This record gives sequence, C-alpha cells and structure tokens, in this order.
Amino acid sequence: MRSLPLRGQLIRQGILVLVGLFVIAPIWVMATMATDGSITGYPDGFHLLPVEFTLDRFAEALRSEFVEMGFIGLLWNSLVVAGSAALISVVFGATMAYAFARLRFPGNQGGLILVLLGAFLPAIALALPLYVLFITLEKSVSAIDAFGLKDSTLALAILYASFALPLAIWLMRAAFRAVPSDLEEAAFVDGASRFTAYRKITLPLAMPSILVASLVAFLLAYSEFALAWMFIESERNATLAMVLAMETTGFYAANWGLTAAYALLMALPVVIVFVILQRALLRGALAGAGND
Amino acid sequence: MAAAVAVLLVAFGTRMLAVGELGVDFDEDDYLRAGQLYATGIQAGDPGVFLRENYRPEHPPLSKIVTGLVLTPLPQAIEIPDAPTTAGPNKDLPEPHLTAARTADAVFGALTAFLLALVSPLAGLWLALHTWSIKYSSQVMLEAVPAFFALFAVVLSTRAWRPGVAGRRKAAWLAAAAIAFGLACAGKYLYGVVGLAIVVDWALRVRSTEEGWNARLRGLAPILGFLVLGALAFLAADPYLWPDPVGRLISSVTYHGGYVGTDAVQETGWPMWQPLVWLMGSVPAGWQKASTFVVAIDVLITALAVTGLRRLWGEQRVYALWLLLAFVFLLAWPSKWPQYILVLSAPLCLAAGLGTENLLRPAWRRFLAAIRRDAAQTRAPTGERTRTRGRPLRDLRGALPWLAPGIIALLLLGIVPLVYEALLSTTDMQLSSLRDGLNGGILRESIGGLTGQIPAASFELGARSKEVSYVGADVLSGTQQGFWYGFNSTATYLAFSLLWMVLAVGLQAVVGIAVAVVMERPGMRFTSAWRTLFILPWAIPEVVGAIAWQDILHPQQGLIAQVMGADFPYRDSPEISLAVLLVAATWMGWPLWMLVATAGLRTIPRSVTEAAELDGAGRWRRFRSVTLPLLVPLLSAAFVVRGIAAFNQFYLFWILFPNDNTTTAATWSYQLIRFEPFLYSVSAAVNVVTVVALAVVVAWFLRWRSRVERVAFA
Repeated sequence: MRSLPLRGQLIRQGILVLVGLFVIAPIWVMATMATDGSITGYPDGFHLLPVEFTLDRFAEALRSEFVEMGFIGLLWNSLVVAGSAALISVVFGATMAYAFARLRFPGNQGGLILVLLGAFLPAIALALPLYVLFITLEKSVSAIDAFGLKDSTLALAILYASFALPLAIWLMRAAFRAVPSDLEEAAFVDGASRFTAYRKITLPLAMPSILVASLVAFLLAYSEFALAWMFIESERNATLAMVLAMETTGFYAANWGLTAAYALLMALPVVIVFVILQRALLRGALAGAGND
Repeated sequence: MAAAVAVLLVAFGTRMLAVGELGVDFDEDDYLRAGQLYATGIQAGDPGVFLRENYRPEHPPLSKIVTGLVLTPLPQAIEIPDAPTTAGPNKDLPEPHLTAARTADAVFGALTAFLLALVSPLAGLWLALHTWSIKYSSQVMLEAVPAFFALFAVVLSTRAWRPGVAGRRKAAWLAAAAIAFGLACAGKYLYGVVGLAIVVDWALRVRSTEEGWNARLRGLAPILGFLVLGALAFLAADPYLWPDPVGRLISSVTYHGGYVGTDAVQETGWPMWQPLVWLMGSVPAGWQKASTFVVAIDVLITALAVTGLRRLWGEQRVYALWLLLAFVFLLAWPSKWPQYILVLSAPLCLAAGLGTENLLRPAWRRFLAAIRRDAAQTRAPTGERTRTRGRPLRDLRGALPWLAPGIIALLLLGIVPLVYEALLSTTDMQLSSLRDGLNGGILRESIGGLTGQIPAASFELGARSKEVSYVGADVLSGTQQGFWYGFNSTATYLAFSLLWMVLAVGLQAVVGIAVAVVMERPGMRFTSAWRTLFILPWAIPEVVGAIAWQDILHPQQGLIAQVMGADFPYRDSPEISLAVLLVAATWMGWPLWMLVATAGLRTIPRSVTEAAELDGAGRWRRFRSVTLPLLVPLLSAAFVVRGIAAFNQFYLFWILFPNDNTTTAATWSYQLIRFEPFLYSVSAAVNVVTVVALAVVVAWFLRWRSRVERVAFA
C-alpha cells in the first residue's frame, strides 16, 4: 500500500472541506436561527453567528405553549408511531425476506416483483383505501368505533407500516443474501432445522443490516406529516412532524426561531442513533446494495 | 414493400380521419390565407405573385406555395382577413378550401410514414399512429411538407453510404440529399437540423475511415458542396427571396429572435423541458372530438423509443444524431409550441420501431424454440418429466410458513389498497359523491361496471352528482394521455417525475460516489470524522431538512432573499425551481450513496486496479474502465430504491412549494384529494399510472443492469 503524498492529501482534504461546508450550511442556518435571541418573527439579515446567543428557545420548546400537547407529548407520539411502524414492517417482513433470499419455490421471482410493486405505490395511494377501511371497520364494529381507530396513533402506525413494508422486505432480502449460505449448510449437517439455523445463525449475522432496514422504516414514519393530516383530528394524537410542517408551510411562518428549535430537537434523537450505529450502517449499506 | 404500402394506407387513413374531425387551429387561417394569395395570383395569370407575396414572411414559403397550388383549381372564396398571430382560431374558413389544403398536408404526412416504413415497417406504423404527427400533418400548418423532405434527405444520404456505392453514384445520392435538405429548409427553417445531422454523421464516418489530416480534410471537402447545393435548392424553392435575397432572409430569420420574447410565448409559462411533456402524452383529450384519433398511444411510442436508442445509435447513427440534435434544439429554443415535435417524430418512431423489435425478438425466438422442443418431445421418452412432478408443490408447502406473515401483511397493506385504487380509478368520485363513495359506492359501481352490469358514463369535471358512477377507462386514459389541466397537459407531472428521478438520483449518486472515491484512498486522514459529519443529512428527518432549506430559500424571508436584498421568487420560474429543488434533494440524498459506494469500493480487490495500473492505465482511465464497471452493479439495488423514492418524492415539494411545472405526480395526486375540486378518482388514476410507469422503468433498468454485470464479470 503506497502512502498518499502531502499534496494529494491536501487537495483531497480541501475537497472534503467544501463538501463539509455544503453539508453544514443548512444545519448551521437553522442552529443560528434557533439560538439567536434577536430574532422575533423571521430573521432580518444574514448573520454568521447569532447576534444574541440564547438557549431559551429550546427551553421554551420543551415547556411549550406552542401547542397544548407540548413538545414531549408530540415526541412521544412520534416515537410510538414510528417505532411501531418499523417493528411491524420488520417482524412481518423478516421471514418473507428470508424465503425470497434462500428458499426455492415457484413464484419466487414473480413474488419479489409483486412486493416491489407495493413499493412503487406513492404513499398517498395507500391513504384513501386505508381511510375507507378504517371507517368501515369503525362502522361495523362498535368496540372499534368507541376506540376511534381512524383518529389514533395505531392507525398511523398501520398506515406507515404499509409503505415501509415492501422496502423493508427488499432491504432485508439483500441482507440475508449477504450472509454466506455455507454457514447454514454446516448447521444442517449438524441436524439443525431450517428455522433453528435461521434463528441462531443467519438472523444474528444479518442483524446490522436489518437494523438499517428498520431505521429506514422508522425515518419514513418519523418525518411523515401529510397523510397524518388526513387521519388525525384530535390534538392529543398529533405527531411532531405534523405540527412542524403545519407551522412552516404557511406562507409567513410566525416564529422562525422557535420552529428551528423544534426541528433541531426533533432531529436530535435520530442523529444520535445514527452516529452511534455508524459502523453497522456502513456494513448494512453493502447489504442494501444487493450483491446478488 | 407490401408492409410499407400497408403503412401508407394506415397513415393516410388516420390523417384523413383527422382532416375531417379536427377543429380549426390558431395558425390555420394565416397559412390558408397565404395559399389563397398565391392561388389568386396564379388564377389571374400573374407568376410575379411568388416574388411579391409571402404572407407571414418569417417562415419560408414552400408549404404555402403547396397550399396555393392546391387551391388554384378551386373557385375563389372570400379573402381571409389579415389577423395578428396572437388572434384566436378563425372558425369560419371557406370550404372546400380548408379541407383541400388539409388533405394536401395529409398526403405529405402519409408519404413521410411510407418513407419511414421503407426503412423499418414498424417505425412507419408508429409514425402512422403518432397523434402529434397526425394532428399537425392534417391541418393547414407548415410542418407536413418540410417533415417529408427532411426524412427524404436523410434516407437519400444513407443510400450514399451503403457498401459498394462509390464515385459518381455516391455523389448523385448526396446531391439528391442536398436538394431535399434545401427543400426542407424552404418549408421551415427548423427542419434544417437534419442537414446538421447528415454533416455530423459524414464527419464521423470520415474520421473512422480516413487516417491523417490530409486524407480527412479531403474526405470532408464534399460537405461544402453539399451545403452549397442545399443552399441553392433552398433559394430556388423560396422565390420570395429573389428580389432581395440578403435583406429579406435576414428580416425573416431575425423575426424569430424577437418573437420568442413576446407575451404570447412568455404567457404559456411552459418549462424548458416542455417538449418532454408533449412526448410523454398524446394530443390532450379535449382539444378535439374523441373520434379524431383511432388510438392515442404516444407515451408508449416514446417509451419504446427509449428502449431502442442504443440500437438506433449503432445501426442508424444519422437518425440518432437527428433525434439528439433536434431534441437539444427544442430544449434550448424558448418557444415550445407542440407542432415543433414533428421535427423529431420520424427518428423517434424509428427508435420506437427498433425498440419494438428488441422486445418482440426474444418472445418470437422463445416461441420458435417452444415449437421445436414440442416436436422433439413427442419423439423423446417422457420419463424425465414425471420424476420432477410434485416438487414445486412441495417447495411451496415448505416455503409457505415463511411467507405467511408477509403475505398477510402485504395483502392487507399493499395489494388490497392497490386494487382499491385501481377500482376507484374506474369511477368518477369527486367531492359531491364523497359520501356515497365512502359508503360502498366505489365497489358497487366499479365491480358492477367491470362485470358489465353498469354501462360506462363519461367523466365530467365538476359534475355535481351525489352518486358515484362507473366511467370505465375514461379517467385512466385521460390522465395518461394528458388531458388539459389548468395551464398544461397532465403529462407534465409524469414527465417531470421522470426527469426528476433521473436528475436527482444521478446527482446524488455522482456526489456520493465521488466523495467515497476521494475518501477511500489509502493514507487519507480523518475519514471516520468526515463520515460522521457527512451522514448527518441522511439522519436528519426529511421534514426537518426541508425546513432548513426553506429557511435559506424562502422567497421573501429566506437567507438568499435577505443577502440579495430582494425577493428570490424561485416559485415563478420552473427552471430555477428545479435547480433549487435539486440542490436540496442532493443534500438530503447523497450521504446514502457515499455509504453504499464506500461499502462497494471495499469489496473490489485492490489487485484489480493495481493490475490496470501496471498495464499503464492512467488514473481516470483506471476509474472509468475498472472501478466504475465493478461498482455500478453493486449499486443497482440502491438505484432501484432511490429511483422509486425520487419518483414519488413529495415532502420536499410540499414544504418548498415550487412552481406548478415542477411537481411530481405523487404531489399532484395528494393535491387532488386535499384541495378543490377534490378529484378522488383522478388522484387514484394518477397513482395507478405511477405504478405502471415505475414498473416499466425498473424492469428496463434491471435488464440493462444484467447486461452491465455480464460485461463487468466476463
């Protein structure tokens, strides 16, 4: 392996600095907006650094009279909805993905294409049918009606799982294919059943990539707002993304600083998870790349 | 030849049908008047009329002269008044003059299809059915005559390059091509683009056959002759220029520079890629009676053409050049009238013909093979077959427990909604019938209609019925053919989604791969720190990222507007909207590509690139010929997943709220059920079309990828 001459090192680092600036710019803008106490309403000029540095906005967001629910309540709803959507899609998808990766059965190819067909549907296409399904269920079963299925976090979780599922199956199939089949075959020789081999060998080895698949599903659900607007009527079931998007899509947003603080707080938990899982992500990316 | 004659008949039939059915279009009164002036002159025994008159002198007169000659035997009618170009269609044009002039155009249109059928019968058939070509070669427009001569010029030039043709015969073919080229220019300047294609093709041929500069220059010298002869033919066919060639030519050509700045052009608000919109749909339903066209399948022709492009470049390069140059010109030229499509419909249909052959050939071979195998099997013993019977079933039974959870979930959450959307798209559900629809009206009408119990009504925008009714394929075919919607054809959204998918995914992939390659060089420092920074945009939820960009881009309150000290009205311009969206989407999407490409690069053994280095390959060549071909197949799943996501991208568009022309089909579909006039069934139809379009694109991409893979690992 040859070492990199200093000049090449500098040029490459220079390129990365430029890319880094591009990456940082919008985040920086948002962060200065959230921490600049001089901004009431919208910013009135460009400042590289906040004019009056303050963290009050974050405190205000956490206390929050912004919406009745408060930031914590909204975050909780978001986490519940996105978490269950990710869980549903991974649990229901995992064995099917395994079957597509490993088993020979008639319709293997066609089935996979059928699954992909589900992924072709724009999310919006799933909203109206599920809406009708939910209100029909409500009308026909009084217990569900009392629970209020359509206007509930459960409805959102199901809705989001519906569009994360095909993607999760596709990604997990690639993850299972990336695990060498020799390992399983060795287990068969030792008398293990296929399910044991799956549970004890393939699943743990594919776990990082499955984690990536569930993260993708989580992220889809976490930042969705438009379909939720159709389903959720009562404020106690609202999610963070819904409130944020509502607040910013008005042509003149009321309070840019507070919105920015909300947005940063919303991104924070996910960003922390991603940074911790970096290595697994890199491995998972290759499985997602599908070397089949 | 028989096939070509059949195509001629079909093409003439489709065009004559259109001649009778089409309403009067904007420019028809102008060009009929131009013909009338010539006819009057001839009838008065005054040949000087050709030197004097050229009504609408910005366009050369050949088409108008043809119209004039056709009108000459007819009795004189009242002179059509001189109206400005912006005037609306003149509804009472004299008959039978209008029909006669239209028929002459139809003859040229049918002959164009005939010529193309001589090159490839399937291509001719597609041109015979292409609705844009039918429309503008069945009205009194300037397109039919030059379109014919343009194709004629190219066909003649290809004769010159056939093996065994040399010396005088070759020169004669090229001279004939030059004359046809001149006549095409004399019909409409735009069609001169074929001359450019012929010349470029010529230059490429000389470059590949001749060695050394002297020989090459000698090979290129006849081009000068071609151009001079073409110019002479042009001048001969443009008698209006004779009294004052330079002055009249200059004022005729420079008119167009001023014209594209006029309100009539600016008001359309069409984006730069509007030609793509025209090609992605047929002539919008609602521009004419439903009975005007037998079939409206222009989207299909365009899709087939895309699959045939590679073969077109390999086998019929001059047509490929023609298509490319004409398309680039249409993209660049500021006015975007749909009749301009005729300048490239011939090579487009040729590409579609080759694409159709590509598709049909494997099926045909399989059919032949199946026949042969059947014949062989009747003779061979059948023991082999019985032994394997029953295995698929056992396989399926073994796989079923694994599949069951997924099948249940997919059925409920994927297939049932998809079927429901498909059913919904066969009805006319809108706001007034919402209650009925939600209470089972959709299923009642669609299933009743599909089983033939309920006759199909026709879809009416703004109907006030309280009940849903079945409309058959009215809505579906309408959204796909492009019915006129607001300011543009519905094909806008599909065309933009495709454009967006290609541009957004392409940019993200290029940036991601480039950064991965820069970082993966051994000896690079701080890579894991950089990587941690770089995955931030991916980790940040799309809605938060979009809001961050909104802070920068907001037309009045964003940072750009404040730094510039003026509004940043990106919403007014489709091109700026696209650029702005691309920057934001690249920011969000490229980290994933960096990760995937990094992982992929690590699987490529270093020895491979080192071997290439020993062979003396430079750095760029090493990357292009070794690393990239090995990398791309690894990325194919990412291309599929990201491509689908980009095609259906929605949240970014919702928050940045760009120009109406820069709206994906998914966003439009959401707008349809969120805002007035609440067209639920149209929204469903858009979704169904999206699924089909994506399935086609992905199937095509996977085919292409498997070919790449074979090359890479061979």
